[in-house]
Amino acid sequence: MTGLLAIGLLLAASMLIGVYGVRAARSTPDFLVASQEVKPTWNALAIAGEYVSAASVLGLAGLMLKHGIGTLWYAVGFTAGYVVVAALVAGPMRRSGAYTVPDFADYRLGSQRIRKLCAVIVLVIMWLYLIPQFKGAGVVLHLVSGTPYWVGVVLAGLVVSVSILAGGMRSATYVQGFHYLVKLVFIAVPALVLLASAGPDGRAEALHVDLTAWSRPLLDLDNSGEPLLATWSVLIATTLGAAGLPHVIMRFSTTATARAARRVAVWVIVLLGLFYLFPAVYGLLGRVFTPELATEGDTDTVTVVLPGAMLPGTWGAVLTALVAAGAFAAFLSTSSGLLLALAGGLSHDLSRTGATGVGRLRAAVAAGALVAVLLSLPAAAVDINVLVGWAFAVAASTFCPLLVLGIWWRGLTVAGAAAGLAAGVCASTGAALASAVTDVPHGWVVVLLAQPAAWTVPLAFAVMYGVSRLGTPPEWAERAVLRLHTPDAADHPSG
Amino acid sequence: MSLPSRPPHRRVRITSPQTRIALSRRHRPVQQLLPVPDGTMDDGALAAARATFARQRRLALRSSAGLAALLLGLSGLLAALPVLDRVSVGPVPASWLLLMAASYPMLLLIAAVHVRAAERVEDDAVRARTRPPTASAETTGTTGTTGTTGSAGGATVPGVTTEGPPSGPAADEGPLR
Repeated sequence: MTGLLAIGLLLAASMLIGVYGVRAARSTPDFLVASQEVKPTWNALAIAGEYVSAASVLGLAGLMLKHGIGTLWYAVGFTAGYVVVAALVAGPMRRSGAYTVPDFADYRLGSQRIRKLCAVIVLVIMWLYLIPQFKGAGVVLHLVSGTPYWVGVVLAGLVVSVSILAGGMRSATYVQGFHYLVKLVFIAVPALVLLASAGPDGRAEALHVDLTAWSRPLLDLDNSGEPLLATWSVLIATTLGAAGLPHVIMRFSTTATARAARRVAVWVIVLLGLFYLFPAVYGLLGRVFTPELATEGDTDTVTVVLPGAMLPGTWGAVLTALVAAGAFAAFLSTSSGLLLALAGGLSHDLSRTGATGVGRLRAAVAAGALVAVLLSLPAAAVDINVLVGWAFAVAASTFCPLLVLGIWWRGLTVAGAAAGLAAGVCASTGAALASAVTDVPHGWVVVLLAQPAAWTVPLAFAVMYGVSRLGTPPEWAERAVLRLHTPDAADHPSG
Repeated sequence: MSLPSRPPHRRVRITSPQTRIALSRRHRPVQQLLPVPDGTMDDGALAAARATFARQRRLALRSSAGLAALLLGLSGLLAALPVLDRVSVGPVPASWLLLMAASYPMLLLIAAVHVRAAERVEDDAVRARTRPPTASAETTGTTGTTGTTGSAGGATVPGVTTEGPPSGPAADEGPLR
């Protein structure tokens, strides 16, 4: 009951901030990217808030309980992605003036068909990413109130749609900044309390290294027996995927200058590094105090179940409520960012007339949420982080090569980009689907299907490069690239 | 200007707040895609832009290599040395500590160093562009040390002279905006 109350309070606070932000949302550009009036500190908080999703709050500890310490490589990769963003993408992307990846493709390659292809890939990534978020919401609501899984999913879809329809990105910026703080505090404080109450014996047992694969600091997927390959594949997917996630890229157009965009990315690394210290606590203590979850039941629930299991009575209930609210904040902020990017793709890039009114964007938000809810209903049994890993793998195999080559190589052509994008999206989604439906016994094939980034990313880069080399880029291509790296006077008040 | 068919003094709530605001807003914030470049970039500006791009790309390659070395190296190290699981730092196994805590400061370091260096390249480019034409022709050799008023610490950057001589006077009009 306290859990429901905490989630209710969180929703009320989010709505309040959202409605306050309505005053600022004026037109489609405002609605999508908040018209660059957002302060850098809020922006970094908002990016981190949007990024720390159910995968981090619930999925990380859950997968750790199941597969071991090596799961933390996901967190390292999620953070390392912002090194790539800061070094390769943020500044030039901001200078291009593009809101979205399809916008950028249009600028760089001057092709409407590439824009549409990109928009389709945006939909694939965003839906893949939304499913685990909605699953998280369904699971959390089920735990704190006993409602069936589907009720939580449907309710989550409604809440997110309404909160976006009320304010768009501008309000989302403040709501998400607020949500980062909620997530950090509501995960960190219970973690510290639980660590203290575990006692010396509990802590020693949690840190005890036994001779099983669980204690190895490498990530083995589906007991493949190839832990290093699996770890590298996950690292490639998460690190490069973060640099190609449409909703992350979109965030950087809310910064004032290219220089500010880079600096925001660095701040995000600080915020993420701080946050990722805590999910591990739940995984480690969960192994000692709720070991039954690993064999029967849903390991994704460990973060919410653990406080009640360790501390019976009022304190347990209060901590459970805090954690549940934190998880809900994670779900809410990430889903609103994802839905906005998805709606932008549907209404802005896929429509025949280009930019349109706010009404159309709202219809796209509702439609996107509906599809995501329908896809999430049968996904209750799939691990959150596995699904998120696939979303990252698709982004790493499509938009990462497009952005990196588009920004740093003048030789990219329309045909090369299209071929690389098509190869990347087909290979990565195909492998993920194959791993979901087939049952390969053992070995490296398991890894390359379950987390395909290790081969699909090089494939996409190679195809994009190779096919581009066969043609010739337009004469203006070099200028289009150079301009992304040429500082303008506005960047340098002191210069 | 953008209040069509509605007297400004009459405020009647007939639409949602969103629509009302959209109707009453004064001016639309413009942010548009840069247009496809035409041939307006002159030779000096082109050479300067190319030099800046080359420096930024070298920097990007360096940072990417550093990141790859950190991630693949650290995981490779943990795979190659299982003994790290049995060494303890305080109560925590050394390998766990490396994974959980050591990677984040290193990531931050790579990003921060990159951003600083990238900003320096941009500062140099802007300085080369805004330098007075006469002075630059005379003093190209020394601008690296005298013209650093804007950057923190006044550090000199090796390689600044590569785009100095050809770009100084020519890039003044700023065709790149």
